[in-house]
Amino acid sequence: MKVYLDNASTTNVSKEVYKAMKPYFLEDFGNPSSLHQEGIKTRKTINSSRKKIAKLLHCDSSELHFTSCGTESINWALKGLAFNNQIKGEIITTKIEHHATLHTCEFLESLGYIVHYLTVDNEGFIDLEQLKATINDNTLVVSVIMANNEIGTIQDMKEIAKICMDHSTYLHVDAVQVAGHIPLNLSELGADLVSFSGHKFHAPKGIGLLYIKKGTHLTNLLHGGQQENGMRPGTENVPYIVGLTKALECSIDDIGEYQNKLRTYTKYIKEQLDKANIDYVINGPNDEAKRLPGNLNISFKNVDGGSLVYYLNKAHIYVSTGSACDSKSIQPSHVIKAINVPKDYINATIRISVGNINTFEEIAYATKELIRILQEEQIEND
Amino acid sequence: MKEKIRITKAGVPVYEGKILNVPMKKSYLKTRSIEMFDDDDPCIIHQSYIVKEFSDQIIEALKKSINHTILYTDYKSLFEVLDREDVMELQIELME
Repeated sequence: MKVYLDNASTTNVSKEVYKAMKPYFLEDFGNPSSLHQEGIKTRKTINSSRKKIAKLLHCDSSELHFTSCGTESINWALKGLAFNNQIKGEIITTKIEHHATLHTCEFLESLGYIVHYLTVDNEGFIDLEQLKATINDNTLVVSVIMANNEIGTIQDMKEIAKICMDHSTYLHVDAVQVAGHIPLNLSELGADLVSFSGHKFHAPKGIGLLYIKKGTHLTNLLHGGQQENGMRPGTENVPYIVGLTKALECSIDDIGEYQNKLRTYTKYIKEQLDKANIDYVINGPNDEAKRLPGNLNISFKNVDGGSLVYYLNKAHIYVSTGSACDSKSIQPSHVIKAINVPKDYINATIRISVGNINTFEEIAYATKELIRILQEEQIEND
Repeated sequence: MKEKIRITKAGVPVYEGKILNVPMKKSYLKTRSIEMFDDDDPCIIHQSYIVKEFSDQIIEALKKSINHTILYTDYKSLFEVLDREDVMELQIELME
């Protein structure tokens, strides 16, 4: 049995999405900028797609801009604001952002911006008092990952948005892990910029979205034609735009049922680990409501994480490690370090991310194999 | 992969320690990386995967062998990965 438990890394393109996209590769391939029947058809498709997404996310369609991926959206949001701004010189973000944000901030630091990295507690929550103490009249933007990609922590966006609003500071939200997984209402979120990525919710890789609230001005990253109101030039990726739209529609249709299913599965895994007396800690919130459904980031005591993932892979169970590499060594990831995972556990961190494609039989098999491997490793440690 | 092994030459230990730390030929890391990832310059995580795969093969061979000991003649391709000139004269055993 093959069990894919790495859905936070990427998801498969669903059958519905694939079916919706297919005609735009083979038949309706016209350039949306062309003024003939084929171009008009695809132009209409893009406009309709944008309107559908706007309705699903509760915003105006003119506020949505298609990009190539989440990383591009994040880069555009932060650099676009910075390049457009001539006055404010500080940025606030957190220590547990995705590298798309962290490395963009590092780049902006090299241009002279002062970047503040907020600490988080051991469940990955931002210290709101630290945010209040750090934000000031010189703060251009606060950039926060709404749901962490590694440990699934869902931040208190309402409170963060209020603090930003009180200080007239832009708020950029990295919602890459959120869309399609938890309900999202952009009219209530209080964000000025929100980044999305299609492949995290069954659209293909290579399509993203940036929400830019009316009145927020960004400098272009790319220069060229008039696509996306001249703000993001390049011939539109019509099949993928259709795919993104369909994926969002499908995910929002059954989001409650989806969340329940995933939470049942992660609860089962934890119960089985407890029954087998496995020594582990859960990274991220204990409160299920504050954690992304399907996310289970676990560290095991005195086990080598690399070997664990190797043996899981050998048993055809696919999960992620909580590690990152530099040129010479393998280290716990910046997120795992930031939440201060205990020393005895930090080197054996795995992220299980259950998705809609998984069945109970798969979860039962994967859990059984995980316990078997851990017990073998533990015996060897004794 | 916490197993420890002993490599001996004419009864004299030339390596004792964790299987994952056994010195491997750099050329094997590159060849296997090209086979697996089509990557001439693998990052440390990919290199470590190749090391684990090799270690796993040694462990499997040791566990199914009599006295948990293997000889060059039976596992030529595995011994050739070791970063030594005298692989033909070596034997590997699993340490308890």
